[in-house]
Amino acid sequence: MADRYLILEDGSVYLGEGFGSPAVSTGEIVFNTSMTGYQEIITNQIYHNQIIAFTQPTIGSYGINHDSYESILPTVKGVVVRDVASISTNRQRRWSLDQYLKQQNIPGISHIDTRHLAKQLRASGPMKASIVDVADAHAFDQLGATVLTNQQVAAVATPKPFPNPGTGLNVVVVDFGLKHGILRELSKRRCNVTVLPYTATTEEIINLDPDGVVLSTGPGKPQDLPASVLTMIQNIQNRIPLFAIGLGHELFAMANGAQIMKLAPEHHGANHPIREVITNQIIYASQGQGFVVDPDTVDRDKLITTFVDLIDGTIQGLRFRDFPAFSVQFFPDGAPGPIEARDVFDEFVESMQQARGPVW
Amino acid sequence: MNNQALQKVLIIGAGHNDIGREGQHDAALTQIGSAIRKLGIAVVLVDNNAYSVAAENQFADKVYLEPLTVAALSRIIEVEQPDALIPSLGGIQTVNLIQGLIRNNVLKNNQVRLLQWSQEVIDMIVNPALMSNRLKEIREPVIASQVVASSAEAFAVIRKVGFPVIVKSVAPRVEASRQLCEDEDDLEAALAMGFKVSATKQCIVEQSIVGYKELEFVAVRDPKDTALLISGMENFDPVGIHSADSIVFAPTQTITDQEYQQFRTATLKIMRKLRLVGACHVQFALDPATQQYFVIKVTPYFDRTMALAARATGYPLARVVANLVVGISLAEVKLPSNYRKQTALIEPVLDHIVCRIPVWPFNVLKRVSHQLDTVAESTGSVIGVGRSTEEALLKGLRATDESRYHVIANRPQNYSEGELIQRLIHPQAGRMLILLEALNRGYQIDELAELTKIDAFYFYKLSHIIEIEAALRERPFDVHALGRAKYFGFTDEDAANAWHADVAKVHQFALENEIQVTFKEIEPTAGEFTEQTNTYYSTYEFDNESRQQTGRRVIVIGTGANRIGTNHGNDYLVSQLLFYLKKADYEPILINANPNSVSMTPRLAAKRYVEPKQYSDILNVLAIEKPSLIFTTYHDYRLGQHLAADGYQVIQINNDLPRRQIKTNDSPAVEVITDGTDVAIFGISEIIAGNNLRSNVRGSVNVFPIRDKVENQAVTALQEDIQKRVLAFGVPGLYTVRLTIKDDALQLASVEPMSIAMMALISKASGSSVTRLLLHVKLGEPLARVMYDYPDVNRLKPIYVQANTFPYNQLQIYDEEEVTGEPGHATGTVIAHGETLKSALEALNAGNEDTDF
Repeated sequence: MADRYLILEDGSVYLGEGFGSPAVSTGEIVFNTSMTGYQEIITNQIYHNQIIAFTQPTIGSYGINHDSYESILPTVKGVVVRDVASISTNRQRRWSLDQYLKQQNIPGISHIDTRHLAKQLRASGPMKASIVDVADAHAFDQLGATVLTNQQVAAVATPKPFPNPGTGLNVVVVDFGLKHGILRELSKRRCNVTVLPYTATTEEIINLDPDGVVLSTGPGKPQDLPASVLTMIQNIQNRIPLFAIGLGHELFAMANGAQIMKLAPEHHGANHPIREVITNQIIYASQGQGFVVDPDTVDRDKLITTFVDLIDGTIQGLRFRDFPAFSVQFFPDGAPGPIEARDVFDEFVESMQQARGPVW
Repeated sequence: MNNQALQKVLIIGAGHNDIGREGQHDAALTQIGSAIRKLGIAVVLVDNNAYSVAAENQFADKVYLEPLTVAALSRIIEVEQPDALIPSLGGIQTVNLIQGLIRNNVLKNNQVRLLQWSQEVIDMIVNPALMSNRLKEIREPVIASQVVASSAEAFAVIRKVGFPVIVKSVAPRVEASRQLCEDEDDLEAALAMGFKVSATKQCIVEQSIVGYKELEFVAVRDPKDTALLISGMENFDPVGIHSADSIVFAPTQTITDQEYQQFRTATLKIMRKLRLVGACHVQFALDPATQQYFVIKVTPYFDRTMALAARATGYPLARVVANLVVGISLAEVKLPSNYRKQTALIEPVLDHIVCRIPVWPFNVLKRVSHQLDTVAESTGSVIGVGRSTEEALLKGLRATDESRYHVIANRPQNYSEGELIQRLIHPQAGRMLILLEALNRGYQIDELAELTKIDAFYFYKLSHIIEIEAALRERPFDVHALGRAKYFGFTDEDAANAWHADVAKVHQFALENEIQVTFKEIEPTAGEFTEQTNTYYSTYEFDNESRQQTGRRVIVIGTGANRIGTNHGNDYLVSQLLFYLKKADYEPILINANPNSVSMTPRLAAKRYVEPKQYSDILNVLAIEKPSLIFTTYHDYRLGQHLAADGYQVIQINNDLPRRQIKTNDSPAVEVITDGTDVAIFGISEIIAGNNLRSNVRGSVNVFPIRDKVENQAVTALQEDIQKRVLAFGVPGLYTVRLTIKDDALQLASVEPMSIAMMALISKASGSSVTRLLLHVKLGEPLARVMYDYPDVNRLKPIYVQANTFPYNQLQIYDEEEVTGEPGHATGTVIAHGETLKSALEALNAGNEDTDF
């Protein structure tokens, strides 16, 4: 395999070997410490336009599975690993990671000292980076000149509504770049789901007569989204049970007056202890966040903190005092990662059942 | 739990080392004992392991070197009146003993609380059928099985489920193995063995899941129900080969996130439903075709897999467990300042790969079957740590220290096709070279995966190793070929072999071309946080994290894998050395790759390198640390010579030992120490014939001190002579001066280096560490300055006796010709004492009753 380079905007150069697509590509580089689930992570749309460096040293050891996609098309800009196993040994025997990335036009680079890279990024925070064939001045000029889009949600969210039929409660999912795990969990609970674009208006949502609304996960900075999204949330949250996840959670907080700030260091992994405030139970869940709710700006008369990350004390969940509206920063559906937070989906179902009253 | 009330806890040790007990218990004891003491709780320890490090050096407030029997423990409990008992640190036999204590109402009558588990759990551990029922109740899948009390009942089960089946003993009095039975003969044999070791004369017959993937998960849970996963591990070998005899990787290599989470969830659920506090190891079998799984075994007491999880992740497992068992929650655990505050609560993640490889007793016990099956035969293991599967595997193979593992030099090319296929289907110890050879002969990966039930992933990795090796062979002194080979775990020696060149020349070539080793820290957060475990492994990458240790650096070369034989106590010696080097203000740096070793525990050495002991591996460490001194022990005489020849300052601790059992007719010996100028006498010892001892304690018995007047007078008379003979060696150290009777008078016979067994015996009998004394005279201090705490031997009250233990039962060797009890077969040593020789021998014979059948 050919020598390729990973270059970072601070001038660092890492020599490695290319795999996947031979394309030159630029994105924001982040490191993820999950031990399992490379396919789920690569296909998670929160990583749109980002290059993912895995600290887990061997990636690709069972190939690509039909049931491990978190989106139909991955939109990451690159995959950085120590060692890639370009093989497929899963029982479906479909694609190797290498073949898959080639198909998807995503470059990968292996033989990288990912531990050193992670330590560097831990100190610097995410940076612009490129996977290139030649690490010369020109490549750095190109990297410097690249302006990364701030329209990630528009790029990955569905432009058109689509259904995910079920026989139970009627749920609208507002798509900011959702993870399939959300739909999977709602399906397990028999929900009849309609996925709407993130531009959906209050009226469009209400017209579907939902029992509950989910604000999905998604990429990027919440402030980059149009203010109309916040208006929609404000209009919905006191009428229909609402459950917001990831980017959705950040928008939910903003709609209620809180500020969102950059999180340093970011959380990309599945091993932080998270305390549920009401029960004092400690749980583990998958996280992928570069932003966080500023605790000083939360209106405590309106919102209560439900989950806290015990490593840095960051808010991991909020709940409306007066209405059945709540949110979590982490990914309760797992995929990849621990699944012990999945019961927040049950909570959502309960809140919908309660809101419907005894008829249901 | 009210931990205010906890003022004194009792810990029962694991007894002598053996197959399956490779030091991991003593390693846990040293850490847990000292951590609990720091919490202000007194620790009482009972053990009869002569090589227990925890039983010396104040790791406990009070140590009883007593037989591990219900009777002895009952007496100790009555005297000590501990508030509670920690049940998880002595393996299965401790659990058996506790069941005995409970049945005799000893705990109840003395108001001793059982920490960590309910009494129900004790019964479930002892009787797998109860565990199986409980798991069914909580809806965890278990294999169809039935308890039988006769062959007729067993055959009735066979008529239902058919062969193959697994047979295991109910309430075994040893860590009994599961026997795979393919036919009626197998079944009869397994039943006979199973009934024999069963306390209830019953066996379990269960459906066989041979060929499934085997996974091992280790988790911790606190009294507030917070639980987290420490590590998931994967056996290279499928179900059917005992996991102790299997190559194991951490983290898991071939399972998906869905499968991984399934096991994580099941492990935590089992801990919660059984209300287990502390650590727990759960083994699973996974059908790779359907994702269906079974729980094979739940082990809530310390075992080799927990030791591996701790070493692999860098998570301070024993220290955390020490807190949990006395009622502190994971959120409240206070760790030393080198860890991040919340580290106890962070689920460990790895950015390296660890490969554990078993070592075998076959070089000594020639008649043991080399067949790998459900009976554990390995006496120890080593780990290789690297940044790729290939590197971890090659380093692990190298660390087994057996030349036949040398990948390049030792491929079994002379096997016929038929032999090769037989060896693929019926795996034997050291099978890795067979697998490599099969790939070399062009067997297809899918074919091999099907034949061996080993995941194809590993065959891709092995093929890659072959490719790298071929490239190396083809391109002598090619920078890229060498760079790539080293990147994936090859060494200068491998390249030298491939190139038919001198190792030193290859080493020089690598250095000139900047193929430089780098060291990375083994820590539990994959670089997300700053943790200082001071534990490193080598790889060939960009960034080196190991800085030269400050202060008076000395390197201590560790023992490596636990082995059968005269040096099985070597890890004790190394651990003691580290402890006293630190006390003497040295910065001891350990090189070792044994995950079960006491010496590897986090606080004994100032710094650890988890590395093989090939010469180039050692040179890599020396290049960074530039120590003022290197210590080698019994195992590494040649290595020490090599280092000395290369100009390093090497202190070799006792370099040679008699290989044969000493044939003496109860003749005494004088145990001495010299600084090169003076000689001090520890006392008189004697070797007596160990007639009529328990079946697993054999051979001769060491006795110390001998207080017989006649002999002491004789020795006093010979003192000048002894001094002269010992000083003639010219080397400071410990010596055993053997005496013989000639013409009715005692005379000097021979002088030889003192054995580790004798060092342990004198240390325990005198309460003064002989290793410490040895260390100080080796460092050039005069005897007068070091002997201050050695007691007057004439005042030493009890007589101590010590004998070797043997693994014949575990290895199913009943052949009288092989069951010789010669020191070369020993795996452990037991110690006992008494007011008279007779009572001491009685105590020696009473120890470890449950391993005696």
